[in-house]
Amino acid sequence: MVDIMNQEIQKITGKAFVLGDNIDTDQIIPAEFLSYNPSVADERKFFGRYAMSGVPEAQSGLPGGNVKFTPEDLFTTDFAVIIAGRNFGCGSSREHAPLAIAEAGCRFIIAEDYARIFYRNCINGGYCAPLTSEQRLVEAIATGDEVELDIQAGVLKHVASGKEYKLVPLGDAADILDAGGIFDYARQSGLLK
Amino acid sequence: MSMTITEKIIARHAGRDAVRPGEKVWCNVDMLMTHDVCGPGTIGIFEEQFGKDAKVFDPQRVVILPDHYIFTADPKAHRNIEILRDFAKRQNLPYYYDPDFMIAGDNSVPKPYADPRKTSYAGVCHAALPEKGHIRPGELMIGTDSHTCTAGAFGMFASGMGNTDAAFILGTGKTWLLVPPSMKFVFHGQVPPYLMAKDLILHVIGEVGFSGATYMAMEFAGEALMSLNIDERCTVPNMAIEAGGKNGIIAPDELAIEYVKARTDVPFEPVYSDPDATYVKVLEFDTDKLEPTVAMPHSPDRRALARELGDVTLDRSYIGSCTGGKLTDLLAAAKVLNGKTVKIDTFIVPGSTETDARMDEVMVDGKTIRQVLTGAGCKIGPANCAACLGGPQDTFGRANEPIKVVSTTNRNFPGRMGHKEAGIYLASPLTAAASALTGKITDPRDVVKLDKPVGLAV
Repeated sequence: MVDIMNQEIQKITGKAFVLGDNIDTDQIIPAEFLSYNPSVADERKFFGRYAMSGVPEAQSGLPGGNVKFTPEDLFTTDFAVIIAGRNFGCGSSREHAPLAIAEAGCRFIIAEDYARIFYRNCINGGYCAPLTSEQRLVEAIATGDEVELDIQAGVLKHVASGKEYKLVPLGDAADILDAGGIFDYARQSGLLK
Repeated sequence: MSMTITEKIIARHAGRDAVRPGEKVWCNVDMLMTHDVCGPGTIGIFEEQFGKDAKVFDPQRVVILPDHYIFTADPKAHRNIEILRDFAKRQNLPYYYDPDFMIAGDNSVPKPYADPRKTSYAGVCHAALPEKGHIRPGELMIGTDSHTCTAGAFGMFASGMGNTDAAFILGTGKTWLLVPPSMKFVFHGQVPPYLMAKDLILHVIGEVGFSGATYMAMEFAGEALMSLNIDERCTVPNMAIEAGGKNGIIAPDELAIEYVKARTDVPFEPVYSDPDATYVKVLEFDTDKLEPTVAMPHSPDRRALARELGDVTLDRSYIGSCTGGKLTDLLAAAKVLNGKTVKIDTFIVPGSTETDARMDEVMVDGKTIRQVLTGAGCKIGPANCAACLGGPQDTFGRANEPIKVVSTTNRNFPGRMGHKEAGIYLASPLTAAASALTGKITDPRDVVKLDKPVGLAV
């Protein structure tokens, strides 16, 4: 079970959005949009609109590319899970990156591995669950494919083929993600009043 | 129990005698740094979680340096400066470096400071933090910017985090850390005259790969590295994050300690790695044999030698940022460009107002750095992050077209300097200046003869 944006979630089914390796936070949310203040509700929603807008078109929604994560002029995405390769979220420490993905309505990422600050931001801010696959999934799943994610069992199922892929159990930060972020964790464990 | 410098700093701040890699510990934070891009969001979370009237954990330990979106007409960027001003005032923060030339209510591109010596504005946070005396060996700093790791050049544990972590620290003075395993990189021998610190770190990143140091402390050492001045040393841990590192760190020698003592009265206690400390990996380099190095688009680990890329035609040269706009970087550019004329658009952005001021003091063949660079046809902007991270459309030097740029900045991911299809070649200031003269990627040895490294410590 994870507590994402105050929702306790065990299992979801939805469409996958597939990306390659080394997706840095400038691609997730380009710097030109960082003047929006996430603490202002009317501005925060723009992070959902521009989420993933920095990914070059050919790599945006593999294998074919040219898929917009958030459709033009909308604020939310139809994709429920991001599938990616190595070093997801590298680069800048901007928390706007996981916030943008969450604000678009996508709460799960499954990558081969993550850059440190992005991973921490996902968890401490309670934005997205940064899950790790045991094997590379970028070539196994196509953008738009239906997937079923069972967090409790740690399994991702590709619905059309019925194939199942194992996820690596959440490590040291699982307790913070379970609590819903660092502030909830600190209150529950008595570190904060 | 033997420990590395990173483990010792974390142990001290966790109130422990010793820590081991992989342990999760709560640490007291000595300094929290934020800027105009992440400050407003951090303040928002702080007030939401601790209350509108809550006070920061210690005003002496909070530093705010607006630097990202200063010279722009983006009204939200102007509003963000007002948020920082208001917070600094309400919280009585002594270390807020206000861009005092930005007029409240006027959303046009601000007219820059008239005199860099007479403004409260400091420039890019990582360049200004040591200059203003906020960096101290043995201390622990967290900043809302991934290049916070720059301060490791002074034997400090410094690492970047997000707004939520920063807000937690603002309220409590504490953060949790996973103790990172340490990797060690040793530069033996001597730095040849045509090499700069940028070449050393680009070589390292090419060696370990873009995620080769993920979650790790990168400790840099060796007589070649320690022969360099403070400016040059800062370039090395600055880019630790480009290999995924949690922090980069250099043991503070007399030069580093004297630099710090000249800028702060706050007492500090340096720590050093034990001789038998454990490293997951030790990489050693024969510095004399390294050559001018470039990272090709679109990843800092796509390493090549400058001399192998002579057929890459460029549209622009960009010399600036926290990592490539320090005084030594601009001096290096001036040494190459002295008496010559650039062939492509060349943008110069000093990292800090102090560097901007010193461009009028430091001489090359009887001319100031500014005179040399202006004479060569460079465009010089005021100190700020500028086009290093693209920024708003009207940012100085931003790549608004799919052009090819040689740049002394630290990242070249797609879209980093603006346009998604722009190709950024990361290189040293010597290489970027040499390339400005020819319009192609050029090994500095082809255009200038230097008798010693520009950044040799004196």
